[in-house]
Amino acid sequence: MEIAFNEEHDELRRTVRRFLEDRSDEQAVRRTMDTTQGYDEDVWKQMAEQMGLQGMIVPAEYGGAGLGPVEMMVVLEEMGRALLCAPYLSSAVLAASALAQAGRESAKKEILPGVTDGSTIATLAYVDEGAGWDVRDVRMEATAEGDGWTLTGKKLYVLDGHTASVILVAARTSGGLSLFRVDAGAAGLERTALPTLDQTRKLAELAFSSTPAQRVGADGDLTGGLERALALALVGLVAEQVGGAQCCLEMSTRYAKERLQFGRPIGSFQAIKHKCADMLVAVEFAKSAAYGAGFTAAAGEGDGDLARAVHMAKSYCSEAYFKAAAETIQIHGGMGFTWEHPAHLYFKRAKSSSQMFGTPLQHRERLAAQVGIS
Amino acid sequence: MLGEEGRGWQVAITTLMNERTALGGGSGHRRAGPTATLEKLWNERDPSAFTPASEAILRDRITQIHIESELLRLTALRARAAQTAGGNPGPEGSVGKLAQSEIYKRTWETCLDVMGKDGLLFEEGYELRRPAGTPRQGAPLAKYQFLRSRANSIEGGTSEVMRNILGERVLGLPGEPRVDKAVAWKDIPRS
Repeated sequence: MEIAFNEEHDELRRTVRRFLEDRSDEQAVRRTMDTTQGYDEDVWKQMAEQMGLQGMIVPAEYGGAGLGPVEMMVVLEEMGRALLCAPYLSSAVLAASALAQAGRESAKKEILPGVTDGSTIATLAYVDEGAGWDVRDVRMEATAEGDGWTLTGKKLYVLDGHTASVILVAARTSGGLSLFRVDAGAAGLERTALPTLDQTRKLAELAFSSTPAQRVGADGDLTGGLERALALALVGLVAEQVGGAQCCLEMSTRYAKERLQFGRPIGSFQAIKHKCADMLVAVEFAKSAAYGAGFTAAAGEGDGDLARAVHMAKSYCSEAYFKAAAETIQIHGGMGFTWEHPAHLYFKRAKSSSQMFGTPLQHRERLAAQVGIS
Repeated sequence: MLGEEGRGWQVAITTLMNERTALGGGSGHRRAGPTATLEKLWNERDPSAFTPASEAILRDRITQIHIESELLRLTALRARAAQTAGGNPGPEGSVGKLAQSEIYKRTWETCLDVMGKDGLLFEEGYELRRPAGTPRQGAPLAKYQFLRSRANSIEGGTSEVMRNILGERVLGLPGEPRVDKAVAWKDIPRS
């Protein structure tokens, strides 16, 4: 496997960065994160219409660009850098790949074109009350009713669950784990936006009470397909973490060159310089981890190789991002601790993305079992 | 003359960056090198020496080392790919030396932690001998490297000097004020 970006990737990165510098600067992030909705409809529309971002990984036959994990990673790295507030990871990555990996043909045709043009915001609800981030932990059981199904129970930590128009719900049938569609206005569905540590990313709790649902999962048990979809979402999440960490490193380095203390830029002191150097090492290693996972996914390596790469990346990138964000506050001193400075936004994003889809410790436990560290 | 007149620093730094890319490249293969020795020692440990809690702690430390060793390798691959594409090695080419020496030291230290009581003994002994006598594998190698690897973060540029280089040459941070600048060499205090 070679980890190398080509000219097109670089051009894609430049285009997305220019767009986000214009439409998701710090002011825009602060304005948007204060809303319950959590995204700006105009920006969301432009992302779809001018940039085609929501359809990046949607196969061409459903209106998307049919691009792969590497391109997705480039886009999400830039979104993480800009702290873009948008239901992108939930709709364009998680729900889109869940459908692509585990959806039946008719559902793909119905849902994916809307995801692509941005008119549909979809999400995946799978974490049950008292259960972990593993799709194998899903216990909710779907009840057959007439020619349809109903769902009862709670799904927690649903990304953008309060604004999604299409909710894909993982639940069990006698045939194993499957996927159901519940629409925003469905009877017996109660959606509660949750107060989040990271204000730039919205989560909701969904309560279902004999809620009518349409089965959209392909036949048979979908554990494998949903695991692949989650692995792809994790590739997206670690790319976001790399973008955020790189931005923290740049902020800190810039400040260390400008800020004078005792008549010298603080970056000339080894105490600060060495912190920056250690951040650089962590950021470069995080890039190797995230890109390694993305290129492994793109090469279509086996599920085992992808899982291994994803466990490594989620563990390392989470901790590298947190370290970079924490040091950014420290290097900026008193100013770094204020509400006015953006450091806290990265610090909160770093910790919350570290907890999402499994903590670093949980991913290391899985990795140890997989590679035979007994 | 190498390069253009007045651009000697560029030549020198390119050479150095390339040299350090070679120095910090990890083991070249997945699951080879020091982490392979550590994992093997761990998997063959004496179970009576551990409780589930102490096992969990060491297992996590070893898994972290496993990850960082693999990232050392991947970072070197990225650096090599960037070089092949024609450019100078980027930051990914400069972090290897610092990262490798620190990871290797931790790896061998952890080997001793895994050995427990056995780590009290040094069967090779300390008689001076030719380097050909270096132990090749397993616990004897780990014990030898536990001592030898202290040099990893000193030779070829100490970790402190490497952090200065990363800070100043890669991140562009200002240098430490030099009190020996514009002072004749014979006049610089040495002790």
